[in-house]
Parts: sequence; C-alpha cells; structure tokens
Amino acid sequence: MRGVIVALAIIATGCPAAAPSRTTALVDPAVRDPNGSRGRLARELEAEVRASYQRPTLDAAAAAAIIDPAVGLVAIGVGPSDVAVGLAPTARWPVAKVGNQAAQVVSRALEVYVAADESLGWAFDEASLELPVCGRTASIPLRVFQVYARDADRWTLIAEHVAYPQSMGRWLDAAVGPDGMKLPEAIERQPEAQEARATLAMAIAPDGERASTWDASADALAVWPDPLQELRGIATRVGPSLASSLEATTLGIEGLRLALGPSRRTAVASATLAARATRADGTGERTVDLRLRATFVLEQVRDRDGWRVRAAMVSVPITAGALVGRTVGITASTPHDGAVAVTCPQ
Amino acid sequence: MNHRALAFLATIALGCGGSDDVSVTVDAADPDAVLIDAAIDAGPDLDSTAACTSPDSCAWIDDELRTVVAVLAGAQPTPAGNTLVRRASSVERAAVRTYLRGELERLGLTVIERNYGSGTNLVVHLAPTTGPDTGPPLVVGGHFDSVPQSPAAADNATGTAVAVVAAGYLASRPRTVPIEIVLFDQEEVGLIGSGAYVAALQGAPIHSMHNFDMISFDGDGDRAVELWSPTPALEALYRTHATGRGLVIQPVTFTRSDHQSFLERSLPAVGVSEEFVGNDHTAHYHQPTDTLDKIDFAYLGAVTRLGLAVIEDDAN
Repeated sequence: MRGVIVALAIIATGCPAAAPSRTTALVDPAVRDPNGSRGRLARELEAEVRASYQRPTLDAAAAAAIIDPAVGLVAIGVGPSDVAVGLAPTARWPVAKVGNQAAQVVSRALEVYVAADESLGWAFDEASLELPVCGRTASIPLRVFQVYARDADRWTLIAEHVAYPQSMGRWLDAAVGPDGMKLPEAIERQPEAQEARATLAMAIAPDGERASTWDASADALAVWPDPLQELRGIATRVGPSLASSLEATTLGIEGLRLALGPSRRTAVASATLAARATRADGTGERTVDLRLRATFVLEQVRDRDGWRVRAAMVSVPITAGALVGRTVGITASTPHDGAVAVTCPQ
Repeated sequence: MNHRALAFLATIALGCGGSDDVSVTVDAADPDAVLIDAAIDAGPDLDSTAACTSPDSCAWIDDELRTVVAVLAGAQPTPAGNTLVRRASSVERAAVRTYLRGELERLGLTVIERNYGSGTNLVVHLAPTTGPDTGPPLVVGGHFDSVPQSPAAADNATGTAVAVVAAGYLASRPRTVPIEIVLFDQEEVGLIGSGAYVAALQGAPIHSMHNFDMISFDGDGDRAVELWSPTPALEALYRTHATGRGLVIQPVTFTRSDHQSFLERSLPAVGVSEEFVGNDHTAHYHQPTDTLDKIDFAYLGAVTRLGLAVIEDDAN
C-alpha cells in the first residue's frame, strides 16, 4: 500500500521584484532540516553528485530503467556537438587531459534540491575544470546542472547539462546562425507529459504567462546563458525573461525530450530552443537565428491544476579550443577525445 | 552485494523457519554469510491446471501460491537460480518481472509487457471462450513491487500469487467477457502502474476490477475478508460466494491501493484484503520482518478460492 506523502507547498507571493543574485543562500527546506527525510535525501544526492564528477561517463542503461526508455538519458556538454541522447556521452567535460595529465572537476558552489514528493532531485553547481598547464593549474569555470530520479534507495542520473557561461552581448554580436545539433524529439506518451510540454512552451515564450508557469518558491531556479543571470525565487517570474536576455523577438521549443519522473508528478525536459534576435551593426539592424540548449525540471502543483517549472538551465555552446584559449590564455590544439596539446613558453 | 542487501538477505532467510521447503544455514564464523538450501519447487504442471473444474477441486492452487510467495519474498530461488531480495528498485523489479513472466508462461499463458515510462505492468489477456473479444474486460490485479525496506511477503507477494493463480485457473474456464490479469508495477510509490493502465484505457469501460492486496493474516480467526470500497454489485457477488466457505465479508471504505485508480475514473472496482482497516492485519506491514514464515497459507488459499469463484461468476 502506498504511503501517504504530504507535500508542503511554499509559495511566495506579493514580494517585490528581486534582483538576480549570485549569492542568494541555499534555502531548500531539505537543507534547513538535515535530519528530516528530505534532508537525508539531499545529503545522499550531494554525495552522488560529487562522486559523479569523477566518473568518465554516465550510465544510460540505468536512466532508461527509471524513466521512459524512449526518452532516455540526455547529456548536454559544452561543445556544439557534445549532445548524447540515450547513450553514454563519449566525453562529459570539454577537456579530459592536457598532454598526459588528467584534468579534474571540482565542485565550488553545489546546490541540491529535492522535489516535494521526493521522486526527483536536481543539482546546480559552479564547478571548476582544473587543468595542469605548463607547471601551474588553470581553472575553467563551468556550470553543471544534473537531474536525478529516485530509484528505491538511490539516486539515478537522468539528465546532465554542462556549460560555460558566456556574456550574451558579445556572443550575440558574433552569432551568425544556429550552432550545435538539434535534439531529436521524444515526449513520453502520457497525458501528463503533454500538459508539461504545454506549460514549458508557455514558460519560455516571449509573451508567455510566467506567473502561472514558473515556480516562485524560495528554491526556484532559472539560469540563463549569461554569467550574471542566475534567477532565484520570485525573480524567475519578475526578473529578466530568457527572451529578453537574448533580446529575442521569437523563442520556442525546437527539439524536446520530456520524460515524467517516477511519481508522474515531476518531469525532466531537455531541449534545444530556437530564437530570433535583432542586433544592431554598423549599417543598421540584422536578425540572427539562434539555437540554445536547455534542461528543465517541472513539478505538478498539488491542489492546483497544472505544472510549474521548478528549475532551468539554458546555455550556448563553445568549442573546447575556443574555451581553452579564452580562459587559460593559451592556444590549444583542436581537442581530440578531450585531450588538449599545448606548447609551453620556454 | 552491499551491506544493507546482505542484512536483508539474512533477515529474509532467518525468517523462513516455518517453511517446509527451505532450510537455512548460518556460518558461525561469518554470520552475514547465509546459505539457503531450498528445494526448487517448480509449481504445478499444465495438466493439473487444466483439470480443475472449480477452485475447490484444485489442489495445485496451494502449491502455486506457496511457490510464488516464497520466490517473491526471497525464501526460494527462481527457476533460474536467482534469489530475489526486494522488489523496489528498477533493477529489482525487472528481475521480478522476469520471474513472473516465466511463471505465467510455464502455465501456458502469453504475457504482454506494457511499459509506461518509469515501470512496466505485466498483462495476460484471456479472450472470451464464447463471443467476440471486443467487450469491456474484467480486470484481476495485484501489485508485485515492494517498499524498499521489506521482502514484502504479505504486501504484496500474496496478492501477486493470487493473480498468477487466477491466470492459470481462469485460462481453462469458460467466460463470456475478456479477462485481463494485470500484475501492477509501482503501487507503493503512488499507484503508478495501475494509473498508467487506466490512462491507457482512454475512457473505455471495463466490466469490473478485482484487486488483491495483502492476504496473509487472520489473527483473531474470524475468517473475515475485507472488501475495500466495493460497488454494491461486487459486494453482493462476494457475499454470495463466501456463504458456505466459512468466510465473512467485511466491506469498508478504503482506497489506498490499485483499485483506487479505477474508482477515480468511476470504473467498478473492489479491493480484497485481510482486515487492514479492521485492525486484524499483519504486524509486519512494510517491515523487514514481512517474511514467508508469517503467511497464513490456509487463509490465503481460502480467500484465493473465494476470489476465483467470484471472478468466474462475474465473467459469465
């Protein structure tokens, strides 16, 4: 017989607009109550996330056993072609080693969240990819967003999204067209999944109704591609929308993979988004079509009719060579299998 | 195998002293190393299932109930030689489905696996022996998953065993409506499997639904059978067939099992159980001690035969 799960919905309303902040304290109730059931789950999740950084790849079979196998694991990496669907990614990180020395991923600001019904957990981290370069350690800042499903007494990773945050003004000025692969569509064949999809489309549309589609509780999270845009709490509704952060006139879902969580009251979605932005150049205005990659967590609101986006991370790709050049200040060869060769100054 | 799993295995095995079919050896030098020496009971053969003309004339029913409960609760290995420890995680539930599928196929039945994303229901469809196979089905259900912390002999290896026996028995009996025996996945985490089954009906009607969940205990010896939220027609059927069997029907309002998924869509359904609401139920509910030796097989056999008689009547 199923146990009775009591969900506490904490909904912040009527608050003044909050400025996007990178320093907002973690307020997930699970962390406030470390001895509670959700606190224990959060601690397990945190340990699992940290352990996962040390693994060279991900377990696609485990993901397919806990969510719709037709959707399967989705792993989005930093580079334009670093997208694995239903398969273990060949490389999780933009650089695996420099010469013959391995790179390391170190957690810097890990936040973990547990769904009200404890069927899904997710984590956002500002991690460092540490590279041994010419006798010193270079550090590349990365964002890592992971989604896990609870499988009896363990967490199983079902989606991962690794990205390098980029200033949108500079990126948009350089953008010439869609970059990176489009995700092939796969939506779980259940009515709840279609409802979640509709909510997601409304949540990101430039003229969408954010008040009814975005969670605004204290642990709501929306991370846009720009390093300054991490929205928390009510800011997911009243802060800059994704479309406005891109100065996009149109924004929609282009390719979506959406699976329900084990309780069917949660969902994970990985998507490529299509946007059209208008940019000024020396001779006037030009329009540019963009492709972004995104990962979302949605949760059905109890005692209400509908889904809410609980967490989101959106990114734009960058090649490993460009990333190393920009962050480490050296010219790197085109990586092959994650291995970068550098020439150190004499 | 991790430490927790070993502990579960020891608990399960040590709790099996009441079973005639299983002996347990504990190595004094390593108490965690528990050896199970079980005679593998393959259950009844096909000829014996076909020979039954009523539930009361079927001796194989008792053997099959004991075998399925013993295997699901980890007290007896599967025919493939695996010992099931729990039925909670996706990997564990997949192993259980493999066993149940084999067991149903051994009874000569065709098994359909219906994946719905996070889990998979096992379905046996029995077409009517007369008339077209187009009418609303009579559904017989029991959930095979368990909570993580328990071998779950009572909850719900017993109900699963009833459903398996029902499939074997009803396959050879006349029926005018289609019957679907459904072994539901993920009941313990929110009636997920039964919810997916009902959603897949897309509003189509069913004839009726009989859900078996926890039939293991009769501490006060009153032979009471609890009916959870029955429709009047189904309650009347159970009362009719309980007469003469020495069983007492106790209807109660209770919905926290797979029949709830059907009742929520206004589909006629009933849950069949020991006195869960009446407070004469196993003390080992959702506990590591919910083991084979706690099962009252005489009670389980009697309630199973009642259920089979009711379902056979309901299907004609």
